[in-house]
Amino acid sequence: MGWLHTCFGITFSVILFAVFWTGTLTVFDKEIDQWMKPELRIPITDNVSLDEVVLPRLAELDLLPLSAVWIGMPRERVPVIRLHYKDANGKAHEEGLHPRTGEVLDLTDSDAGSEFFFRFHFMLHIPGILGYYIVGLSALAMMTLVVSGIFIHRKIFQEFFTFRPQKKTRRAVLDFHNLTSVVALPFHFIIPFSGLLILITSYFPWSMAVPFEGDIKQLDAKLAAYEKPVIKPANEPGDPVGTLDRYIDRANSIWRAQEGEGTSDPDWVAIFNVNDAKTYVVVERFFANHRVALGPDQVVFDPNNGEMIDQFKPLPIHAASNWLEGLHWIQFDHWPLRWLYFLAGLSGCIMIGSGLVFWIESRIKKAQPDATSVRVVRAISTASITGIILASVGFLIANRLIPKNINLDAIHRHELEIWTFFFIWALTFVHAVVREKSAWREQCFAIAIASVSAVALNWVTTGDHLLLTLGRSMWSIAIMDSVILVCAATALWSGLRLQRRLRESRNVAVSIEG
Amino acid sequence: MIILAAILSLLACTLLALSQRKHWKKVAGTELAVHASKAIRVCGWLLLVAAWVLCIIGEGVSFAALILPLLIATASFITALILGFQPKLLTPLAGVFKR
Repeated sequence: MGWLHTCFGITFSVILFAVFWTGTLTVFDKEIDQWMKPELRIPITDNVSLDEVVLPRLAELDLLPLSAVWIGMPRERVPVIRLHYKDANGKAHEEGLHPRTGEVLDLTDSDAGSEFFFRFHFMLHIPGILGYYIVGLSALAMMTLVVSGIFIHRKIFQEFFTFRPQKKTRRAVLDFHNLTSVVALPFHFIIPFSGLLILITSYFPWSMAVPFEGDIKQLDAKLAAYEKPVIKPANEPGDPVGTLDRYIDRANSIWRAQEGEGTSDPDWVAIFNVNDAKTYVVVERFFANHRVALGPDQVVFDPNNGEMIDQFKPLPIHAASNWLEGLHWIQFDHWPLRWLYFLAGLSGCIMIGSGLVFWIESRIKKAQPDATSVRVVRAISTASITGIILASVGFLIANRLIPKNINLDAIHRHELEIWTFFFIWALTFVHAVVREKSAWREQCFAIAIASVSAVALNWVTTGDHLLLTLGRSMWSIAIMDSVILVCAATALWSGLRLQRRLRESRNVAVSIEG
Repeated sequence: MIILAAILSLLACTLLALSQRKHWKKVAGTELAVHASKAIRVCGWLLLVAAWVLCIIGEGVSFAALILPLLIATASFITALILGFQPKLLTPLAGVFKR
């Protein structure tokens, strides 16, 4: 088991740390979006009327006939209306509409949290399916590491609360590794498990396609038809949809009659077969606010006569998988639980990072500290832990420094931000190779300086400083700035502690030589 | 309700830690008798059950199944940090059981 734990740990730690780190950031993805796209910082609006706000906008657009239009309802964490449509040329567009005025918001071109960090979390920003498989294998490795760790850590109960920071580095790091592993053990197991469950059809699409003789398109069509009726277009021009508010009200009353007053409102409204005589409207709750389980509740209406055509609710047999998927997606409105997820995610990062550091410290003790293999592994570890944190903060700084309307022919603005992230990450590796032992400490100090700079740049470029955001109850921005400042303080503390340890070890070496 | 559950979880974890001899000695400076260890452990587990009940009443089974393990994880981590850096902070709590 020890061999298995070490082997899997060394092979997958770097990827696991990156996946856990971006997953932890994604817990607050919508808050990162608001921080990186200041146009989203608008107060939440109650009683939004899609008839007044969205339908006039749809009337202005030249929509692709028979396409679908998706309208995301405003929420506390996403206070604007999101409009997804295809124009007459088939080009997909995404717009943010002001929930009161209907004004099309000129959003900063940034992939921010809900796109960049989110996608990195499950595909490492690698195009195609390769990233999915790497993350999937890493998730399997994580589960193996958790189970093998239980067997290795024989004194799991006796040392449940044990942490001895005063001991030598190796012992203290191992204590920290054991502590963060054991206290959040169920979390560290169920998160990769539920992640695998969510993406199982991406990993093995052909297994589900077996009943359809391997035809994945047929499978997709059957799955789509399972959740909502697929109504074939009449291929005759039809009237535009006259109301959406009425369908939302009716869907709400249906759900309230079935589940009681406390049930949540719809989060998406979709219009299918646009501009056709057989157009239809779907009111959907995919990420219901007040429950863990994920899963579409849908009510389908025919706008020609206003009648309900169909209602879909997940079958009871879906309850377990929907709950497991819901606990991974974290789309529910539960702030205390969101914070607990964030802390547990950080504990996962510490667990992976401390495991890697312990392995390196052990090798340094056994081998020549200046051996090339040790130097390379140490550089990779530094870049994969402090490096990715610094790159993430650099991503935020780039967002504030790159002009909003920058116009480059070859590259989009959001790509510039992403390139900055990867450039800084690569730079931390080079720095770690050159600076060796000092790299940890110096990168910690760099994180501290960069984090304070990010908060200052947010203030300078938007005028929203921490006291102001707290005073005006702009919680998303206040949370972001606070967390970044805590990150700065932690990095500074860690850097100073590493500096003290380095000085002590040098003094010991000098006294031995003397 | 969730704040109360969090407080109970933290208290439960500190008691479960104090029921272990080495932590008790670090905090109280004395040896821990077997019967006292058992009593502290029982109190710790009872408080955890109380936190669990509060979570279910306040948040429902579905959310409670997520909240309680994460509350216990956070409480255990805080307890370990206190024991590692400032164990004397727990001396007043140990004093209750010394009597």
